[in-house]
Amino acid sequence: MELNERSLEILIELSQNDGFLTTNELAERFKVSDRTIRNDVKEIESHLKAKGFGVLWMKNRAKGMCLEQSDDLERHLRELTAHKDLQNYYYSKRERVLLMALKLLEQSGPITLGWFSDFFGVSRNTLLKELDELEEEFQKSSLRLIRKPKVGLYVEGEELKKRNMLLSLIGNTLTSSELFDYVHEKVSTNKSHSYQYDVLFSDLDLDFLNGVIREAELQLDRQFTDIAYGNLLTHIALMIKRLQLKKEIHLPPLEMRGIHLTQEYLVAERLTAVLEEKFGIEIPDDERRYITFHLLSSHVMTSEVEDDDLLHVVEEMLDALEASYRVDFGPERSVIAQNLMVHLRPSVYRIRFGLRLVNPLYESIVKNYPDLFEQTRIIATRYADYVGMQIDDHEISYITLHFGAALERAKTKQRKPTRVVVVCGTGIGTASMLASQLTQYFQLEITQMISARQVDKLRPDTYDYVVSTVEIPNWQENDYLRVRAILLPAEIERLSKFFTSKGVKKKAQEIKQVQRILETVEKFATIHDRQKLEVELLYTLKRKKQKYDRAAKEKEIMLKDLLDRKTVQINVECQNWKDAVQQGASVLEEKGSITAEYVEAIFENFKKMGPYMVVAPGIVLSHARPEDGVNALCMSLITLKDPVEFGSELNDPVKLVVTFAAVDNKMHLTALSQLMNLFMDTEDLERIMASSNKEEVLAIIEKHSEK
Amino acid sequence: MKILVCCGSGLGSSFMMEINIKNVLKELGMTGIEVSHSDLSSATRGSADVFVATRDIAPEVAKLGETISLNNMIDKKELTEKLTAMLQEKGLL
Repeated sequence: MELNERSLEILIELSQNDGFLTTNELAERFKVSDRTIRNDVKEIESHLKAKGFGVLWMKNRAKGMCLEQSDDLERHLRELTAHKDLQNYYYSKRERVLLMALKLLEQSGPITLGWFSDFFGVSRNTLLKELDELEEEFQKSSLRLIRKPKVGLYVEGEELKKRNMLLSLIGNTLTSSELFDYVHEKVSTNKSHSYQYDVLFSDLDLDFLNGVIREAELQLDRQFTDIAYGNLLTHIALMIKRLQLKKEIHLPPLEMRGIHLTQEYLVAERLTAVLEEKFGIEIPDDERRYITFHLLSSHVMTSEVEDDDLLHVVEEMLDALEASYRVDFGPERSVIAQNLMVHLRPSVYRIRFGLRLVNPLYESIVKNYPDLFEQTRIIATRYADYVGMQIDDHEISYITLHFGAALERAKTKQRKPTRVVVVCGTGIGTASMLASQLTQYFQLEITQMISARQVDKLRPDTYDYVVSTVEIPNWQENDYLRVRAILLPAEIERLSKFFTSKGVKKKAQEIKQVQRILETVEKFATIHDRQKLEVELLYTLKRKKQKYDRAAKEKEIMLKDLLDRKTVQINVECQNWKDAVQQGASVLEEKGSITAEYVEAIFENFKKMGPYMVVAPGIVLSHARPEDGVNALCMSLITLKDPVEFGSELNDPVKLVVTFAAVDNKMHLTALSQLMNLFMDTEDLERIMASSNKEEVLAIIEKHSEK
Repeated sequence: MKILVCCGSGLGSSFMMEINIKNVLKELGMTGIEVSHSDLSSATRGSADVFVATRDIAPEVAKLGETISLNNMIDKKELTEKLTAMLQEKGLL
């Protein structure tokens, strides 16, 4: 039972009065009826009883009443009057909602609107309007605000949900450094905050709690981050208060296995034993586990533990990040993965147990890196699958930070431009035309333009790549990149495997474009949430662009783009069918387009379904599924010097091995239908099978690559 | 009417056969026949009126319904003969 202002003043009056006071005297002093005073006195009585004060009254029908003085009562009154000072402070609407929520969560019984109205010094009507917002706050945490006439307001719901909401309310408004200051100074300069501290820590020995946590750090031999420290301190304080009110927590039955075996559980056991003794409470095992999860989720600075599944998820996320930003983290990747692991390991527990970690940089991350933030959200779905729960935006924003740092690092590394030497017949006209195209599409530096004959004078340490429009005598195919003087889309695609494309810059352009759209919109309409609109627009643009990109690619990839000098091999010598399949796949594996698993999957296919891939006389179409380990759409064509038997009743022996790997169900279709055309052209097919000249085969492929 | 071409993975040969079938149907002057391709495991009974598959997996596919088995995927003559026979049997040609 909380006191209203008049009751408090009556109590003060009584405590400061040495003798007896009658009801009538009090009524006169406060200019109210005797009846009101009697009610107020009843209120005071039950208030004192609730606060644990014994019988302090002396009542005498003739002389009135008298309050027994005591140090405890005096301290209690000081606290109450401190609150009274706070009442003169004008709370903002947001603060009022927050504080009402806190108070309702902390309280075991109902609180009347009148009490809040007194406390904040605003009218009931004002508060009534704010109740809807308050109700929403509770709903967000799956709790219900109950309003019962004549009884008051109270909160219904699970204890775990209540505590999580308390923690997040406090976390949202108090930074860990403020909490730190309070622990050490025990005063707060912020009026609204001091009430929160009061909710949390009144009657608790903060130095003692601080000591308990430091002890846990020592036992675990690691230092908690400030945030983890703040969370744990808040949690323990809440736990003690809730247990004193006999509100236990019930943890959801999730992954309980093995928790008793963790080092953290042992520490939690020791920690709770100390608390039990100090506060005279009994801490149930559920609570101990809850503290264990806090300890598990306290950011670990370093750790030796390996978690293969999680590492796998991290690797997948980094793959996706590399792909979507077209970067290669190179040797740095393992460091990035390690950092991310350190962050994610405790985060798994946080998310599973609904502990919300507030990122103080959240707003600025979303605002300054909207693109990366959204991308991270998409990439993090893999992580969400692993955790088995949705991941909230603050956790996403932490991952965004990691990704951002990784990309930044990759960028600085790439600032040293790739050095390219351009070669053409003369080293003049064609070369400069090609050079200007290269610099338009890729981030590179043209160091020299020379003729094919000058190539031999090149010093190997002066360049990274040689790009040539002509064949360079005495050089192997792999030694340089042969292109046309005018780069076709397919060639640009091919070159993008060697050079960093300028795609990153395009992204910045998109953002600028969105900014311009927003400015236009603002001229005619009011934007309520600029930031969100910005993200959505950027997203819409990107989706559209991806569609275009894909459509363009589908058109782009022709048979001749896949079957080139490297992927076409003539008169290969093979012992048996396995050898033939292996050789056809090796060409692609060496290029890095497929993995060893893909080759295995092909063999698995033969084993499972027989020689069904021998689709026509002398032809095998060797392949597996996109999910079997494909890095890029690719195809190889090899003819065998001596045909081999595949065990196909009608179509043996096989002379032509076509191996291909698709990345989806569409991209390869153009090339495949061109291949089909080629197969249907009996004359050309026979020429390929009989040819001993690669150029001839390439020419036939070229011919069938036109739509 | 619907024709579904099946192969082991649903990526390569089934698609190539689909192109051929469409060409043959066009030459035969047939319209209104839907042709698509899929892998063996995602094809179901009733998903098409006629299934087409290469000889090696045709017995598997035949469990789903009427199936045309092709010995040579790129033999247009074989395909035309078998398709014509099927269409005639159904009274469509």
